[in-house]
Amino acid sequence: MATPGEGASRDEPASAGTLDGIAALLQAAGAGDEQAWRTIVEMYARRVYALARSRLGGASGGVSAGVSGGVGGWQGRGGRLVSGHDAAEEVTQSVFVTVAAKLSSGAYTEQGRFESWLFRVAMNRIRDEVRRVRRHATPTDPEVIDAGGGVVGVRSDSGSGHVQGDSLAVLRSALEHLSDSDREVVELRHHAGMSFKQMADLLEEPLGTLLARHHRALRKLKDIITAAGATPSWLNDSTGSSS
Amino acid sequence: MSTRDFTSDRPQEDAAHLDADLRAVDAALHSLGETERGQADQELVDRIMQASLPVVGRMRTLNASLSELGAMERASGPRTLEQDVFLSSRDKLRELTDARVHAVDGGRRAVVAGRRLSEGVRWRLRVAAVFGLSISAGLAVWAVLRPGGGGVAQPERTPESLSAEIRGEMDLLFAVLDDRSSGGEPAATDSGTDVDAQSLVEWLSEGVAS
Repeated sequence: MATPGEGASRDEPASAGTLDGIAALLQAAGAGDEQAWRTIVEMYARRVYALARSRLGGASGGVSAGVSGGVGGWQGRGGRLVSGHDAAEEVTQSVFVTVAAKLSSGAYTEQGRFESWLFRVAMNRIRDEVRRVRRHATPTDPEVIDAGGGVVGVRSDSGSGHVQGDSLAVLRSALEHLSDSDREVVELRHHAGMSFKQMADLLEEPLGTLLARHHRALRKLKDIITAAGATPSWLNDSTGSSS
Repeated sequence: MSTRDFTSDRPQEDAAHLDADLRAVDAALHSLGETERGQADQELVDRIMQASLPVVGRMRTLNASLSELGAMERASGPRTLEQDVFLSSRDKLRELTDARVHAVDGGRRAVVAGRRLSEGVRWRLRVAAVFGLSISAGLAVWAVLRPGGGGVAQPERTPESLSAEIRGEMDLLFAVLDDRSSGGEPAATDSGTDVDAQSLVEWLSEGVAS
């Protein structure tokens, strides 16, 4: 059986393979071919997980900005604390259970848009989870929230609790200050690893609109970072990095 | 591969629409995305696989049964009483398949969260076991439930033998769940596998008989 992911690294987009190859995999998986299903999971699980993790709680708390228990990637859930990692895994599992069921029942017919459909399922599931978490949220300590809406409470990957302006933690924190709409574009592109064409298909928007949205989102992101006084080296060095 | 048409399979190459200062942000975001994807190690992918595989594997059995039902429907000539029962169960079977998927998902969530399964979830998992792990047992249950059915499809099955079958299926299902409940409480304990066939029939009758 053709394996579209062959020769590609694990987190490269599935379209590194042929559409026919993916269609064959989907058909086989729908008929109960466990190996075909395994290949599909291997191809996409990390990307779905990264998308979920970014929204549901990375190292800086994800969805829980303004929500108690959010800092540090932990969320309050019905009296329990669930880490962002666990929440993302749970959502990812749920997405693939849903996709498996749809494939097996014939509810999905491949027409060359599997990836867009998969991430639509993922986005819907993530939105549900975000709403659920927010419903159970309690107001957080005002001191935890930066009244100016800047980049605060960033924890380093090592958990030291200090802002590390020159790390990706700055970006994670800044992402939380974007609107859902802006964040959606950024996360689909960079976490889910989708091309703009796929995103346009998923979001049902013209390519040009999507490019403009992406441009605006990055501009806001940069403004948030600079307004907070964070000056990571990659931003300072940006003048010469336009290649 | 074009880097100007914004359709490449490697999104990091599509930055032509960005101002120069934003390309650094774009590149940093790409690194962040790679980092987040890297958090998903092989064990995590394997767990995702285990969670969804039962749906794929069991569907194979279901599809075979539905195919068999379709063949019966298309066949000419008088049908046996058993064929009538099977055919009448088809739509309900599909409905219960959806219920099974929800049940598996509910059980999986409970296990992931390290929670003891609620009685409600356990019942749903029992149905899942019947219709997910053994379609023949599921059909037999339906034959019992069907108004006027009385188990005519497989008269050799008694409530006791059904109970034993279901218990076996439950053991299989919970073994799968237990395997992936590392660190959490057991997915099911004590009465979790103590299936009362009569209760099952009553519950199923309440839930699916229309």
